[in-house]
Amino acid sequence: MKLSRRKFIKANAIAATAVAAGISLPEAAALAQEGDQNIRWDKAPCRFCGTGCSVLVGTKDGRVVATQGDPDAPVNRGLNCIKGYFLSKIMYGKDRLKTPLLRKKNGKYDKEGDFTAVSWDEALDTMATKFKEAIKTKGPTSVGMFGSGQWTVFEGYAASKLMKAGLRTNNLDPNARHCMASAVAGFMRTFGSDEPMGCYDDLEHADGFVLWGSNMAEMHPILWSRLTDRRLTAPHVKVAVLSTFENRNFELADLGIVFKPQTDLVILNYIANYIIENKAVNTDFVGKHVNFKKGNTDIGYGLRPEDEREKNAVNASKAGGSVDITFDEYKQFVAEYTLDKTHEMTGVPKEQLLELAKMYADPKRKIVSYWTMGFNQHTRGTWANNLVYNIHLLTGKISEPGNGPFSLTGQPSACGTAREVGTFAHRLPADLVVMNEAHRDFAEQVWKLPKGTIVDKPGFHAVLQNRMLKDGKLNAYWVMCNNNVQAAANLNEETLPGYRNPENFIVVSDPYPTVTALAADLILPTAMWTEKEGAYGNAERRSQFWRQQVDAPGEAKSDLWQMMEFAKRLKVEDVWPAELIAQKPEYRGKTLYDILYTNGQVNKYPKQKIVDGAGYEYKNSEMEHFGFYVHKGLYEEYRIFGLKGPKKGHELGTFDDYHRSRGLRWPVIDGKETLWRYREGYDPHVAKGSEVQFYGNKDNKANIFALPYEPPAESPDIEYNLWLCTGRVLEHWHSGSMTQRVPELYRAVPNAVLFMHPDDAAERGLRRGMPVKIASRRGEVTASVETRGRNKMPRGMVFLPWFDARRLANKLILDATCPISKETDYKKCAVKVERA
Amino acid sequence: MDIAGVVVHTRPADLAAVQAQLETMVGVEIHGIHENGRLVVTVEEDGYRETSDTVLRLHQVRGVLNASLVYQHSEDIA
Amino acid sequence: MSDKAKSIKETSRRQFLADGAKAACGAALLGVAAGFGASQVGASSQVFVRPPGAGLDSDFLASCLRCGQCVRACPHDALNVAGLFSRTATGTPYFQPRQVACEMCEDLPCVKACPSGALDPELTDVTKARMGLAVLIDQETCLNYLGLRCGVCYRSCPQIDKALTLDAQHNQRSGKHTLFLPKVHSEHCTGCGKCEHSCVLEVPAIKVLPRDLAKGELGHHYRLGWEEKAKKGESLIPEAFDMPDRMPEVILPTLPEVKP
Repeated sequence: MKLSRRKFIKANAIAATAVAAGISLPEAAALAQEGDQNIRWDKAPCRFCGTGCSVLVGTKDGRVVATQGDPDAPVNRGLNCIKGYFLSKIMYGKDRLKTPLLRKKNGKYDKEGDFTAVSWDEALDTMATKFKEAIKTKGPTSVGMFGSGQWTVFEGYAASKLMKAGLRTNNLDPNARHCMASAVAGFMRTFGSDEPMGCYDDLEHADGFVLWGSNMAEMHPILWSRLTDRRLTAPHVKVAVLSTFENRNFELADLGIVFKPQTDLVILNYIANYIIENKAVNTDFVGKHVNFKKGNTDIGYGLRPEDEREKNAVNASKAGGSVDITFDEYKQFVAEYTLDKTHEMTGVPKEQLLELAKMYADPKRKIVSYWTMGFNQHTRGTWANNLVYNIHLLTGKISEPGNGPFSLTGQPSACGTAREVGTFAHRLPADLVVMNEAHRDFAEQVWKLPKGTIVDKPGFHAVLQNRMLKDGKLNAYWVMCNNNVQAAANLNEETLPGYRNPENFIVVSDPYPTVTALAADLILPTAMWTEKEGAYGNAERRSQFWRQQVDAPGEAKSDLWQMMEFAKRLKVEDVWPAELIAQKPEYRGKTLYDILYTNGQVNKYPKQKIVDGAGYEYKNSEMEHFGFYVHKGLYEEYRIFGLKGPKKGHELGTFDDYHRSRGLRWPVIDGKETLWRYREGYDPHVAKGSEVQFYGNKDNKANIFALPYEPPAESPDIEYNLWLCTGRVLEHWHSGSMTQRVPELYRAVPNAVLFMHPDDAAERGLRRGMPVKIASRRGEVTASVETRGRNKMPRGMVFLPWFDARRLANKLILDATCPISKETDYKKCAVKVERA
Repeated sequence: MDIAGVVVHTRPADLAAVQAQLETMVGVEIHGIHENGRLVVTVEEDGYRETSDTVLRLHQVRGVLNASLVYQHSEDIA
Repeated sequence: MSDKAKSIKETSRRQFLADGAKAACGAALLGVAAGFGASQVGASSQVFVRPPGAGLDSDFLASCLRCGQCVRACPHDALNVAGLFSRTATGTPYFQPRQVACEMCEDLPCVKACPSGALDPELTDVTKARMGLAVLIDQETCLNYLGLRCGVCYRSCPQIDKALTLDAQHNQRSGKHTLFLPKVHSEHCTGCGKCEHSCVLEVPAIKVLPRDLAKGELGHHYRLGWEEKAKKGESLIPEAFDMPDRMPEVILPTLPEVKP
């Protein structure tokens, strides 16, 4: 191997030199090209966003050496964005973690000690001791896990079992709480079933697109490229973009609307009012398929209960409540959202508002609404989701090609893992919830558990987990596959005090020494992306599988391996009460590993050779280690929830189908994918002659909600006189732990800069490029001012990306959430900016 | 490991002599010769400093008019 | 460049000269000293991008005192002094965008520091600087031309949407995506080199060149008809009329609504 590499480089040297010398040496040129041969190509979804582009991964000598977009993949047809272009480099950062690291002093674990390399045995034993201790003294609510929408489906499912069944705690939440929770809550409230009805094929069918708080041009670059193509090749197509500042979408927009933060709620209600007043309601559709409800108002901001804003909120504890109303009552409710009032509250010119309303109202124009964090990260995020559904339901523009509301996901498996597997604090697989007895019973049956194993109360959600860590109520905590110290809001007041609370033991599994890892007590080195077998589910309900391509470096192990090995170290007697064990005496003396992962189902598939169509053989580290095909067993057990569970419409294909295909969109029934849900002919669950059935709800109807505008939790004042919004840039993924380690992407955008209106800068004596201090009531960061560039800010608003570990932008953010979805509002808080 | 590709220029009349001298140098290999006086040469050393020295020595060879570095690659091969 | 790297560079150069090498283009050796990873050296000729306000190189070289004040004034260490045996006049300032691009300081410290006026003191608006012109020099490797969603140069451009725009074109190959092709507008490009600096390729596909090298010039005998019409607001020959075509008398289908 050493020789061949040397030979190859030498061939390159000769070829290049021969060209420079004007000498023809065809042999050398051929040899140099040979480097590309002997590369094994296999498919995998991209590691980054929720678009779910498919790539071909080139492996040689045990290393991923190249990638290419899969030219036959329906999503991306061989294309990638610039992050996808560098996929082959994300696993090879110089500081990959290769061994477990435990904080130690004088040879013993010490919270104040230094990170010391330890064996896996020592790491997992120490962990098990800490988790057992916590459960023994304070019960199962004192342990928890913070997972990820970047976990594979298998990992999410294994985690759900470990926490909800094994440790009997619902304190399991994914980072998708920061990203998709409002979309989930919105879907459940309106349709009784999570995830979009449409798919990406809508992009080629719609006559109009409305982007609500979605910077698709940067965050879903390949979908944006499809949307743009539709706009260019069909001149009648219109694109409307709504945002609190001008982002890259405005370049294409026919209608670019900048509104005052939080007033999207007003615009949404205005459109509904316009549709009703101008007789554009699809009365037939509404009559057959829609109910009307009025949601509770004055629901607070998900802050700590002692906060004045919570104390004063009448319905803080009943945020999700609603009562039935009639269409006329709804009509009356939205009547106050007139053009004049809307213009006044939002700052949007009347002609723009009218043009937007007309796009939706025109019965001949098929419309897709897209949204991402602008809606979801919103103190009324669930409402915003409900309100956009109202518009599509009033006009009947839903569940058919080119018509529909579509929530875009940010993470590669926010849908596949966080939502479908149900790794939220209140959920179980396939839309089931822990609060529902029938759902718990079903899960316990599938998992072969005694009745009552699963706890009936939702656990701590993401924001609450940090608060409970700080308050010393959550004491043993495992963070996997995310960088929450950098991501979560209000670092100084809420996150860090909890991580460093002497009562707590914090474990972080990550491939790289992130900010979160460094705040932990134990760091576990983790295998990433194609260093393990995996499956992701993208935003259009497409599940995509991949095989393990290479080994993880050093002693790094997959999250799946870590959880299963940890489970071996917990005896059922350590974590379950005697009464529960008494129901299943055969479980006595067993470990959680035995009960959860070798239950006859998960370990049903023995070791096998994994071979692709071309005859290449693949390794599977977990299969090798545990002695059975773990992924297949976990998946086939998980699949029972969709096939036989109490909520219909979540049928998945077989494990082997997915490995053979370029992904399938569920429900997968009778060997066919489903492109549009709830519509007769497209969705096999919809009864003949009924046109549309929103079968997530018992009466097959969707709900239109009357919900008003309510102000944000914090607005600029005399001292903190600017709005701050944080977010992403195209070049970097989330906290930058992968993309900042790709030299080319680092050079492209090395630092987060503060985007600001030039007049706001001038007023403060600031010039472009000058370092400034951005301060909120919760902390400050330093960045340089950018008054030009990709984002054009309106007066009074600044934007700071959060990928930069040297500038923890989200520490400035108030940990206010949508009280229904518990998702943090990262898009608006008050800051001041001055010279650093 | 460090590999460099170098174009060595000489007068056509000196080609044979230069070739003979280069062939005696450790780490230096000739891969192609053009009758107009150019040679395609690789230099292979442990590190870039050594490569640099060897390339400099190519200049000292009697008959060499110029040695231009075209390609250089170094990496750790464990 | 770090001080250490700089000193290595200087040492190797001295050694090279001391050895009395026969090479006239010994600059090739620099690559060895700085070489980490593969690099092809000596294969491309260097161009010299000058600080803001330098104007045409011939004029600039005539008035530059080689005092190095501008180099010292640059807060971002972007500027270098051309050394002995450099391909340009020794002692004159230049920058290499691929290493450090010009940050386009609004207060133009380099121009202010220039004692001779070689950097035009009348330049007060940095967006009016014309240090060079960015050129998308290689369409074969530019990721945007290949259909990928890169656009890093575009988004890094301080004069985004003016100096650098993306022309959207249908991707014939994929059939459903768009090619976003970067296009430089010389009217606004300052030549700061952020695009060249940020290009993610191993060798950038977009580079800053001296303007006289980069810019084409249309024949003075020709006008662009559509621009002239736009300028005038109507046809240059508004009196011309269009005689109706004879058509069969059938009802024509209505055309889809077209955005004006």
